Amino acid sequence: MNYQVSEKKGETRRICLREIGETGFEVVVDGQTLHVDAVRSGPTIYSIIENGKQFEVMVDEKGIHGFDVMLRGQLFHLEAIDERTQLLAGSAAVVASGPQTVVAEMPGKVVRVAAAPGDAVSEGQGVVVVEAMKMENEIPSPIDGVVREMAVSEGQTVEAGTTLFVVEPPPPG
Amino acid sequence: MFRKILIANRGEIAVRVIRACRELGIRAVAVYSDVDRDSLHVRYADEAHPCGAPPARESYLVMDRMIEIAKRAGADAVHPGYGFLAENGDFADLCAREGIAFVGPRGDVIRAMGDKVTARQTMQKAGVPIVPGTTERLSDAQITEWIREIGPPVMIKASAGGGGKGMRLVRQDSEVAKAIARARGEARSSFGDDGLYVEKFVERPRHIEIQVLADSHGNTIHLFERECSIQRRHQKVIEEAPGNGITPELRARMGEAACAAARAVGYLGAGTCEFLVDKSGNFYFLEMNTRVQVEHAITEAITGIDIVKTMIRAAAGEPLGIAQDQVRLHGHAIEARIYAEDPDVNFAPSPGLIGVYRPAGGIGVRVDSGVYQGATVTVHYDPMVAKLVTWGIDRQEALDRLERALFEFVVKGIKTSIPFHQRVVRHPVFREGRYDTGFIDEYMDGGSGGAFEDPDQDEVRRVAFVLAAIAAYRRDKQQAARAATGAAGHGGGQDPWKAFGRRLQMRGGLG
Repeated sequence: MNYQVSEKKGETRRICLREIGETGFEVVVDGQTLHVDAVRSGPTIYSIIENGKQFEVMVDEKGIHGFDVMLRGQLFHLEAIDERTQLLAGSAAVVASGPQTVVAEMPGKVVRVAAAPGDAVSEGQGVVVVEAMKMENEIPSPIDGVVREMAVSEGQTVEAGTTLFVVEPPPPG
Repeated sequence: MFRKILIANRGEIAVRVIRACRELGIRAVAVYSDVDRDSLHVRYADEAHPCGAPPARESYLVMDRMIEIAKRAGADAVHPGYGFLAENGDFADLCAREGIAFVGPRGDVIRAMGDKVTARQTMQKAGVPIVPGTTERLSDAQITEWIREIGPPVMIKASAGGGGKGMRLVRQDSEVAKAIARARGEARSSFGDDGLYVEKFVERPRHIEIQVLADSHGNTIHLFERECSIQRRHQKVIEEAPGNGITPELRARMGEAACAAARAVGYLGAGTCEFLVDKSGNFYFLEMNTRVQVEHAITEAITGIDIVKTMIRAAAGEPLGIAQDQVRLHGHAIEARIYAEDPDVNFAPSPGLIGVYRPAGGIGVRVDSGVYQGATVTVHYDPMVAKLVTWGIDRQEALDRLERALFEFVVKGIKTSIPFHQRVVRHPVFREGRYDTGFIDEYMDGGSGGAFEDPDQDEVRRVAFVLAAIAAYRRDKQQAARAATGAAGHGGGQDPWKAFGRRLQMRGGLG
């Protein structure tokens, strides 16, 4: 089975897997053949032994193809798509398009609103600050774009799922 | 000595106090809100009583209910822990009126230290150096006038302040009006008191605090300093003891100042004097915390003194039993506060079910925590999951041990700040101990930076990519199997498991 594994805004590698026994894999990557033993304890923690070297690795599924992989204190945002699915889907790169609605992930209180409708914001820029769990949390814009709607005001209490703001991609040109 | 203590708190500090009670042969009474029935502190207690709905103001902050439970349980003392009612002078007074000992100082002492302006006046009288500035609440015009005379940079601070709230830095005269309005607004909404004062801004200070212990027999001693300069948005995240480059002479002077501060207010129990230390080694009183601190464990590690037990004994009228010249500083200790937050997404809170919990262990490692595998971190309270404390014979060993312990510590189901701590501990500037409160902003890009290259970087990357493929493969296979079972049960349709198998054969060729 062949997978295309790509890093967000980074390289893509082709990885061929062949299952051997209960936990083993023969892996071809970068033209090298590796023998990997991958044992899972709990749903998301793996112990990997490759050529005698042991790595403890944590994996979180993110969406349909996304995997957040953490090892040795480093986090990799990866997408793994098997080649057949990729062929069927045409291009695998699905870019978020259209207006993005950002909702509160947990109950809290809006302590600051840093942008108004019409303001240009960049990806990762804090738009609203919500206090929850005794901490102030900046809620960033998911994309480069323009704030179309600000659904909350300072001092307002929000529940999980409450819409905070809507941001849309900038008009082309 | 007390027979029974009610612990008016939850989480790791409730567990900490219950441990002290058990060692002292005192029965421990826990309280729990509706979401805390399953919490660890309940399991460790001798008695447990419900105290209300999940929001703290309907449970852990309800004074009358705590008193009522204490009376019903026959508790002769209340330990408030930190947070919640710990620095509420009215609660201390209420306990005293009801004939229940409050493990901490008197209500008027808490109030005197809680109001920053009063505390500054008291410290000035006691000869303790304070940050240059005013010792009165000021009107807007007075603040503007003061800044015009002294010149920026200055800090406008809330008299009732704490935790970085109601605090505004002014770097230019033009910012004054806006800063006053902002600080007053924040102070009013956070503390219900919009009194402000002004302090000279200390550039890039270090945050050094002195642990103090006092009994009711006139003994006041200090247990040296803790350095708490690693802060994110005014919240401490890593602390160590002793402080970096604190000479025995400076340590002695700061210790004496802290004891003088405690004596000046008639302090009882465990308290902490926080100081700012500037580049030239001048120190200024910042505030006194009239409770046990989160980071008390690092002082316990270097002195061998059980601070929580000592404060309980002091509240019961017993003498400290140790003189200043008997307190020994041995080795070095570091604490990393592990929070339920995602360092990869701007430190957003990450509540939820802890699916896997495997704390670090071994020589020189202490973990104080209120959670366990299968516990849920709720949105209602402080997001701290665990305090990881390591001790070493010197700073180098304590740091190496912390790095090793962070490597071992596994928490899954929720995100934690463990990766952030790993980046701090490996940072060369932190390693050298030459840091101040600007460290995270300057060297860690506010917390997201400080990435390090593993010596086996290529291999680490490759393993990550391979594992993503393996995880995808296992998931695809599992889904196919599940779909196959479903299809068989409904007797028809295409068999996805077979389809997966075919795909495997088709694409399975290596290379």
